[in-house]
Amino acid sequence: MQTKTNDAIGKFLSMDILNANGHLVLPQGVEITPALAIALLKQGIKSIDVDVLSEEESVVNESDAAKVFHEHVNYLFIRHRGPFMKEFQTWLLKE
Amino acid sequence: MAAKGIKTEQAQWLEDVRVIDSDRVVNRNTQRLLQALKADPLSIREITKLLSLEPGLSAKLLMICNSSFFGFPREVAHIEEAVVILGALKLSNIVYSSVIMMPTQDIEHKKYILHSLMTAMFCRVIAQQAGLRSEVPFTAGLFHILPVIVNYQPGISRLLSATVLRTSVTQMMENINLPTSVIQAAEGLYNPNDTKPDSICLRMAFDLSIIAMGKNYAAFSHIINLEHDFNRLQMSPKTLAGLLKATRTEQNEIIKLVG
Repeated sequence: MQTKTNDAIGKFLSMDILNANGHLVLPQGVEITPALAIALLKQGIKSIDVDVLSEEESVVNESDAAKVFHEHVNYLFIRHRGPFMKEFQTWLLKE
Repeated sequence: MAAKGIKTEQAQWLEDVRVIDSDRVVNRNTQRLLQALKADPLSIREITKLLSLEPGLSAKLLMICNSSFFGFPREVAHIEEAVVILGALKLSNIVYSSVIMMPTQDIEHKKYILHSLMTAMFCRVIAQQAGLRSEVPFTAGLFHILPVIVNYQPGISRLLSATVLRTSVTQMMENINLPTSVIQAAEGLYNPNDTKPDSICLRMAFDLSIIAMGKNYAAFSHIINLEHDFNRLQMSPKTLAGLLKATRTEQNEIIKLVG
């Protein structure tokens, strides 16, 4: 999917990026880091093709990750039931 | 019988840590570099000369200071530039970080390295949030399990009681001549009655690191009780929890650095 370079941070290139001479600048599969995005923008590359999960897959992955995180936090706080620790746990789960 | 076996193994491991030569932890050139970074006035020429003797370290320093682990706003291309722009304190911290980042393929070993770097990063942001100017929490965070990283062996977690950790860390920190304030902050991790802000920072950062790494990658399976620490540092549980989300970029950067 064609995405603005700024919005592609954390995503992976779905096609090679070539310069005007046809030389490879970045190969397919590379993760776009903030530094890479800046370097691409400096070369005038304002949009790139990246792999994106479908909306549905993305929602499922996020919900799995949230479930695992909640279980981890709840386990760590079993032994800590004071009011501040309980509040800390609550805010962590909200985050 | 089993308990006796563990005690013998713990004693042996502690003895191994006690006799580790400080050169094995921080090599001579790096020690000289850290000394030069403490000098007043600072000699840029001396520092760059020492760095030129350690091309591997120079490359590692550039990699670390260009990661968002240090939150530096622009790219640093040359090591001389890093010396001038970052200043002695920050550069010392980067050199210390490079000591922790040992090459390893062992996942358990990596977990301890990740935990140290994460804890140091959280120490930095908690200290900033609490208005502390001290660099002590960062260094204490970086080195609070140093012997585990330097003298790692598979299955080490079963040997690591609080007493073993505290004894070994104090011993090794003294061996490599870390400042007393850093040693005291690291010892404060095991003393909930220690009310020094540096120690509280470290306890909070230790917990955040375990929480952030998740069940599969956390180096430890228990957190410290911070019940009295929130008031002592005048930080609300909401603020501390918020730092977990606010540092997501730094956390990802640390994971990338360790690989």
